[in-house]
Amino acid sequence: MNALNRLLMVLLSAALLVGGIIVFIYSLGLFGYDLQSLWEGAQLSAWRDSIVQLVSQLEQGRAPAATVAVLVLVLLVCLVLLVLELRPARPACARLTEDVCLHPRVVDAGAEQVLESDAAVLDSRRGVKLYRGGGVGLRALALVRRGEDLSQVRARLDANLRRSLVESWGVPLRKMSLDCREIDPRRAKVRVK
Amino acid sequence: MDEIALARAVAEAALAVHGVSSLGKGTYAEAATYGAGEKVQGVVVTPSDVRVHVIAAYPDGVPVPLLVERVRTAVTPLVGDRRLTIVVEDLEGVPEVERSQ
Repeated sequence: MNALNRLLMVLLSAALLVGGIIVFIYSLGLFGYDLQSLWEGAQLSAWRDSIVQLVSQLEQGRAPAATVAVLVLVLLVCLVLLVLELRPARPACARLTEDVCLHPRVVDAGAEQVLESDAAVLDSRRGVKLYRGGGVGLRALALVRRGEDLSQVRARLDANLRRSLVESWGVPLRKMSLDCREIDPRRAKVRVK
Repeated sequence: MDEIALARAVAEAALAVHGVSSLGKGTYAEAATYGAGEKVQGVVVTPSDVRVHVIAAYPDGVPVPLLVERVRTAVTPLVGDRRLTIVVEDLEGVPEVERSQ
């Protein structure tokens, strides 16, 4: 939601800036403009009349079905945005103990070290997610040299990751998904180990 | 000790710990303590808390739990009644030349 809030604020600020400049020019009568021409040019009376008409139609229960559908849609979008806004923010770091916090980058680097220290792994991709209720999610893809038994490598890496991150570091790992795939050595970070 | 002096002392103590490469800058907001004409980056001191953002040396530095323990030992005597939080913000690769020295 932070990104959406910022986008909305940027758009709102830009609109206010443009609106402010226009009102400034019109209210001071610069370049031949005056407030009366703004009222007529923007057709504000027509806007006001159509809003009054819409409200009276809604009050009398004879609004067109399309209008009601649009209003319901707007209401639903607003409800979704409100729920998203009220959700607690994701934590910025993974709390190991009451006084120690690990940034996701550190968990990622730790996982990278564990994965790529294995002789069969030539490259890896990782993604770390911090959960709102606490805990860390790790998604990793180990790119393994050809000819290896993928299920064996996977079991070994799984055990190594858990031993290193959970038992040694104390990372509260809530969910981990590990996948192993063969890779052409020419496309890997290292070709030979 | 005022906040900026405490931040300075904490920063020096944390940087002296073997395995700490540097102090972090914070992720979403700058992690720093501000004084008159000076700023101590990587340490946030408030009346009730002290937060230290460390960047650990990598790859052959100190294991993270041990590093945290060392930072805690170095910094705790300075913070007094304030609550201490240690944030390991990143791992920083130490160049080969520097490591061999």
